[in-house]
Amino acid sequence: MGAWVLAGFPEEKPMVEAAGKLRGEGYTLELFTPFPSPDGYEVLPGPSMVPLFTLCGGVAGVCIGFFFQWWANAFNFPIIVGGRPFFSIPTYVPICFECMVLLASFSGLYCFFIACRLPKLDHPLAGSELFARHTIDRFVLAVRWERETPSDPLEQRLHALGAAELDPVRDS
Amino acid sequence: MEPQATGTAKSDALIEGEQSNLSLHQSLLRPVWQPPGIRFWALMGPATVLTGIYFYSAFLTVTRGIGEWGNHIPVAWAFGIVNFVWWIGIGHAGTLISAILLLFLQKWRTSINRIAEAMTIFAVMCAGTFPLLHLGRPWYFYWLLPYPDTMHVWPQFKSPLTWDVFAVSTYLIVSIIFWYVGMVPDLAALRDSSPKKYQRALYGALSLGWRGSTHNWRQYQSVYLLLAGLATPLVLSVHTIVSFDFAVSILPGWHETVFPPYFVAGALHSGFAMVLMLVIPVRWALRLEHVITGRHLSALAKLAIATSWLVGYGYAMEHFINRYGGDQYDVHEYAARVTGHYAWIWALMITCNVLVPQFFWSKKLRHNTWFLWFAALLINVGMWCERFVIVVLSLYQDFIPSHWRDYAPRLVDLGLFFGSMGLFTLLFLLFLRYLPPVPVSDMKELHHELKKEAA
Amino acid sequence: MVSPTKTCGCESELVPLRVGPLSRRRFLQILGAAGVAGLPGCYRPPPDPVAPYARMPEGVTPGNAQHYASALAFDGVTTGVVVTAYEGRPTKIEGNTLHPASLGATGAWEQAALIDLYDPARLTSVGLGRGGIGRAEFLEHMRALAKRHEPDGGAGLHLLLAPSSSPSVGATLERLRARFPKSTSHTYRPLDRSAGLRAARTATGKLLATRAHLDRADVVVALDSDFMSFGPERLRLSHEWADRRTVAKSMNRLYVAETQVSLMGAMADARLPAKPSELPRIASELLRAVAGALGASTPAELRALPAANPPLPEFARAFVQASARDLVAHRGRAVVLANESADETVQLAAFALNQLLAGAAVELLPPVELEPLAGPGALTDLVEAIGRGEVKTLLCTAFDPVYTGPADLGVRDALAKVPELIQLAHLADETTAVAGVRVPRSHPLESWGDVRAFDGTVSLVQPLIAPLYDSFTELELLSTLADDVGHTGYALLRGLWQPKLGAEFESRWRVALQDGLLAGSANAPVAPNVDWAAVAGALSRPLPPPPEGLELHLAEDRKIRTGEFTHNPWLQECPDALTQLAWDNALLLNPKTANSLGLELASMVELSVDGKKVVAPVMPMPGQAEGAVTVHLGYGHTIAANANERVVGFNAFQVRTRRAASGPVAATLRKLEGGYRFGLIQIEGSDQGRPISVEVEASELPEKLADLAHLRQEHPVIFPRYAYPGYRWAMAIDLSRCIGCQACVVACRAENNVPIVGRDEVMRGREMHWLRVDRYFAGDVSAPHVRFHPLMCQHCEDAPCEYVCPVNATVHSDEGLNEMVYNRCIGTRYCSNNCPYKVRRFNFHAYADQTPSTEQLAYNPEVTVRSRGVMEKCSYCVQRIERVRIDREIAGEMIRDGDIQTACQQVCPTEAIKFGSLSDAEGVVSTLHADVRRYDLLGELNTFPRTAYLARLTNRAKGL
Repeated sequence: MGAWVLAGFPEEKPMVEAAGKLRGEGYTLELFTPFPSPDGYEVLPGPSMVPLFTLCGGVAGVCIGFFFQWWANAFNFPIIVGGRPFFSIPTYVPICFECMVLLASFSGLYCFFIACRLPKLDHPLAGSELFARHTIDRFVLAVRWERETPSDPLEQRLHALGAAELDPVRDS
Repeated sequence: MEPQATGTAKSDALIEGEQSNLSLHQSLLRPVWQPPGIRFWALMGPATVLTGIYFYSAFLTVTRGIGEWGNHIPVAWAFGIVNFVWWIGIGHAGTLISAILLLFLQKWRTSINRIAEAMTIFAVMCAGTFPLLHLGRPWYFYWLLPYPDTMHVWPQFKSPLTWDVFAVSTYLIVSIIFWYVGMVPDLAALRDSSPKKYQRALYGALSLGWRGSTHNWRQYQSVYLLLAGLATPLVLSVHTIVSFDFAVSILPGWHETVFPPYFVAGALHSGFAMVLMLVIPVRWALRLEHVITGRHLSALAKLAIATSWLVGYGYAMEHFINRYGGDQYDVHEYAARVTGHYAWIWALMITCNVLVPQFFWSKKLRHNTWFLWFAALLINVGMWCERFVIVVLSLYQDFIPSHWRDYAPRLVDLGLFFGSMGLFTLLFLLFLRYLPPVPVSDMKELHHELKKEAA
Repeated sequence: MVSPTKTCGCESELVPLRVGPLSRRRFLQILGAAGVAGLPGCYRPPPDPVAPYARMPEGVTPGNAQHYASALAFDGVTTGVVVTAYEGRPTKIEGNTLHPASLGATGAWEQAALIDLYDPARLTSVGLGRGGIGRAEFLEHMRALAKRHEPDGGAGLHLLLAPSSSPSVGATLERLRARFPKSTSHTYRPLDRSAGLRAARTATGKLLATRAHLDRADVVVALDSDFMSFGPERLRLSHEWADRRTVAKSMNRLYVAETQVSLMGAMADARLPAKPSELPRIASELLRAVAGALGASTPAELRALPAANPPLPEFARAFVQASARDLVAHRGRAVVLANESADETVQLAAFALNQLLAGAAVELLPPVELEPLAGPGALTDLVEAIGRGEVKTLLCTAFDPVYTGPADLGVRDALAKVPELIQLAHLADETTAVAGVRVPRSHPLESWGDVRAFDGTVSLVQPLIAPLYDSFTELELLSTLADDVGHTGYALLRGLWQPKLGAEFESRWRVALQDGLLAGSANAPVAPNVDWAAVAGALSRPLPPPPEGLELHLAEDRKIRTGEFTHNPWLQECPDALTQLAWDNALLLNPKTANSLGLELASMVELSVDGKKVVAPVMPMPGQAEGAVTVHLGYGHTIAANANERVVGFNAFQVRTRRAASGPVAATLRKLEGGYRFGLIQIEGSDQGRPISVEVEASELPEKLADLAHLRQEHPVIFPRYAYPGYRWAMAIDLSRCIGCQACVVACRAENNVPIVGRDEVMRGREMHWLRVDRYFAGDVSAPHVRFHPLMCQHCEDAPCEYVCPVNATVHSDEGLNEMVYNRCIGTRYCSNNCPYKVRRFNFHAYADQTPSTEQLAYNPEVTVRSRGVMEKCSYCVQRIERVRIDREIAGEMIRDGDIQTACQQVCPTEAIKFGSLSDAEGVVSTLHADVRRYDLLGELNTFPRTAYLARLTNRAKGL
């Protein structure tokens, strides 16, 4: 049993500083912000697999597009059309390109969904009013608190670091 | 803060007035929460009627045949294709503004990209219906797709039309993805500020349960940037491929190597014009002057000047190559455009596309929203004329004089054309009603950055 | 289903042309290849007992065509034809190679006659008063009628007959006259075609017809005689003329003087537009000039002929001089044609000129009609008789006298006065409205009969199908009066010929049916002595003074004649060769004349002649004689059955008074408000100086041929081209031979089930002809140069239409055919845009569904009927190729040159179109493709068309 202590900041800067300090002290943190915060990335570094997936999608798209056109028009059912060669690479280019973009976009999108665990219709902190405001105007710092009783020192700490309001959320 | 009087938009700020995250949040989501006013219904009525006309015309076309249109031999393509190219062209500015300007770190794109993208999607939808209705046997449209059919015949991948199918459908899908991904955080914001439970449920579902954690934002930014990177060449490819429909043929007036860049330029031209036509009334009606400021409008106007020169170059090149090549069929075809009895359409095209935008050199006119709006309207008229000139005026007098024949649209043609505008308006109004017209989180971010810069 | 032998109800007698022994294997193959066209709807039981189709009759296979020889007559004189039938359903008419008037070809009329058989508007049963009666009652009615007339020898009995050359009709009429000695018969024909016979009578005392052999003529002068469009010899004459056009050395030269541009005028090497009143003077001037040039060798009387008064205009004199010089220079090999002219002076001069110049190129034959002098006059006599109250009963088999009769004669009122008017008619027309008894006329394809060709050759008419309706032939109807019991046509025919053919009757009868003609029945030429004094006398008589102002020129229509084909959709939709009008006629004026009157295309005028008026739209026509107003007869003809359909065109008979019918009269025009919309198939009349229909002047050969070089396929290609291993189907079209007669256009429609779109859709540019003959004017509007250009799919080896089709609906066969896959087509119409020849046609609506169910019986079962929304075009008659391939493969042979004839090639009277495989190096097509005159249409586009054109040779006259 434990709890998340949510600290709402009116501004990004104090939150990021607070996060930096607490992380130094070994706390488990997460930041919730109304818009992407590059400084936050530095406090909580992490990878993104999206670019790699997108690249693979794109490469696959080109290959599939090219192979299929060859197979359909030059191999599986070749028909004399306008006296043109059955296997004519220049005419394959546009569709290869489109397939590249399409598959790249889809794989990027799927990777994004998977990485963010979307769609996810509930969230452990969803009950907290403060938490709900992070999409509106609050910069919310969530600190993991492993002990039974909420600790005044941590709350005072957060107040000291500039948290406007606090909202502990116990694990259910 | 109160919206300033429309008519002029002097300021050069990207965000006007003293704003905070909360004020932005409230002002930008107001259109979704507040009940629609009389203005909304005043537009909704005619839009619905036109949409009805559109579907009735489509019904006639499908049940009675293409004979209901004005098309004939030799002018086997006319309004259907003209409207298709026109709409698809309009559908280009959206993705361009949001993708390319994003890559070029153009801050001013932020407040208008959502509207522009919505415009793109609805325009491409309208565009997409025309090639389908245009088929002699529309119910077999799926034969264009590569699927193993009973005849074991595949699509013919040498045909530009097959390329079109791939290009347009890809463009529509990717545009929708791009638009939706960009909207996810705002949907979450809607969810968390929805006054009613069902709204919370609705927007919660739409937002896919998005939470603004650092991890999520990281993934988000990376996918959004990549989509932008993919959409950029895609935009260029789509109208390039549309131009192949003409450039790949052997018809005088179609068989031109200048077409791909010329078409793309034309598409952007009409696209920016359309954005102007939409943004000007929207910022006024939805009281968004503080985020869509005079600076945005004049930036769009400047882009229009640039694109006007690009299309102007295209026209000049057509003229030059025609004279330089001197092929008798080309020469006649061009003469028929410029001096034939459809010459007025050609003249209208030149005036609206090349001359009208030159007024934007004047800062005063650039900041006069009324002028901007009418100029934009004219540009779209001009771009429609351009497509008419290319499609119809190349067909009606080609190689064999015995088959020359003039073209005139019939009622169903007009019904579909104006009806499609109604359909577009309808979809756009619904978008304004139920979705955030301006990207909220982006605006907050921009606001934040501007403050940083200021500090 | 019932075999044709059954349906015609006389099985022993119908003799198919080609009956091969038929193995079960072949039957199945053909079934598989052709597909059975089961159309039970076409079957109605014949009167005689029929056997069910349990055992297949010899030579009759479902899906397998049968061919029967028969004959079609226009104005009573015949063209021999071979009719194709499927399951007893006539579907196509071809020429009979054995027949002197056909030589294997047909014209547009013969082609289109088929659809008349299936006309939904046909009279279906005998009408009496308001109601109708059955066959038996009608026969009873006629018997009673005969009884009533017998006592006074048929004094009140009058016959108004159509022109005929049928021996059996003749015999029946004799029996009728024997039974009713006091009866009177008038033979009526709207236009007078007997002037030539009368001229011959003036010169020789005998009625004689002129038969020209144009293959023996180096110079042909045609005076007011469109020998390529009209007359029983038009096919043969065109053929003989064209045979002399392709080789520069042995080329003939054609001089033409006429009022409106005709086919022959378009073909002329020298053409003189002349007002009707000028033509007789031109003719006699020509005779004077020739007589003068020949000098002492001509009869003195001719040299003493008076000069034309008033004198001819300068350019006309130049024409006369030049043609006279040429005629004299080619004495013995020069012909003057006036076949169709109604002017006796022209005819007499022509007769005299031929006597002086033609030598072996012209023969004289006795006329073949029963009443050679038939003409409009007959009607006048009848109306007078009616006026005197002499006519108790009138039996009318002539074509619609009320509609075609002189405007100032009051035919309608007169006929309305006749107590008993019995009309034999195909459709309910103006006359039917006043006829008490209306008898449906049998179509030739459902009749027994006999008829003569221009040279007297007898053809037997045999039916291919039992009469669709309760109809009679003229022969059968006359028999109801001539014989106390009306016999069937078959019985009458056998009855007549049994004695004539003598002992081996049965065998000769069979052969006659098989060949379509009775061998050796042609008349022998006669060589009378000419009474030059009489000729000179007649020619010296002063001509009536030419009328003031505009002159009226009433002309038979090239398509629908004088209205006989009004209700024929195939001809109505086919464009007129020169006006390019479909479903319309127009008032033709020279553009200069039109300008001077402030008229332009489609402005409306009121045309008045002798107080008679008609409102007509104007069409300025280059080459029209200045000051002459040409209107085509036959339009504005109301068919009761289609009263709700719009009557197309205006009725020129409304201004055809007796004066107008007999000679040149003045016409006055009054401009009216408002305009008109023409159903124009071709709008642009100029070829813009493009190398489309190329010409070379014979005298400038061979240098000029260098100009053709760049029109041949010599351009590099950047990709490897497909090599065609087997047959390489190709076509060659010789523009020197094409006279623009439109026969191919109608034949193509008949063969390929090309749908009718109707007038409105034609005006919207949606006509469906797979093959069109384009017409281009060049040069001065008064003396324009006319070029014809047959244009169908060129079957390009590198076809632009193919690579733009997204669904592989138009693709190439490995024999080089550009194929349309109808069931794959989704109708993007991209192929049409990218076709530089614009020969593709699109089903904008479901045109085929609009075809009346009866007319659907005319469908060729071997050709798909196209649905809405698909593209279609010329297929090189692929069904014919496959049919021949099957036959050849069964025999284990290769397809030989000439095995395959496309529909357009088969009908062409001048053999302008040739089809075959380029793989056969000696084949006729290979030869023509190698010809010096060969060029590719738009070859510079690298389409590599399989159809090659041969440049037209012209042979301009010196000194003009």
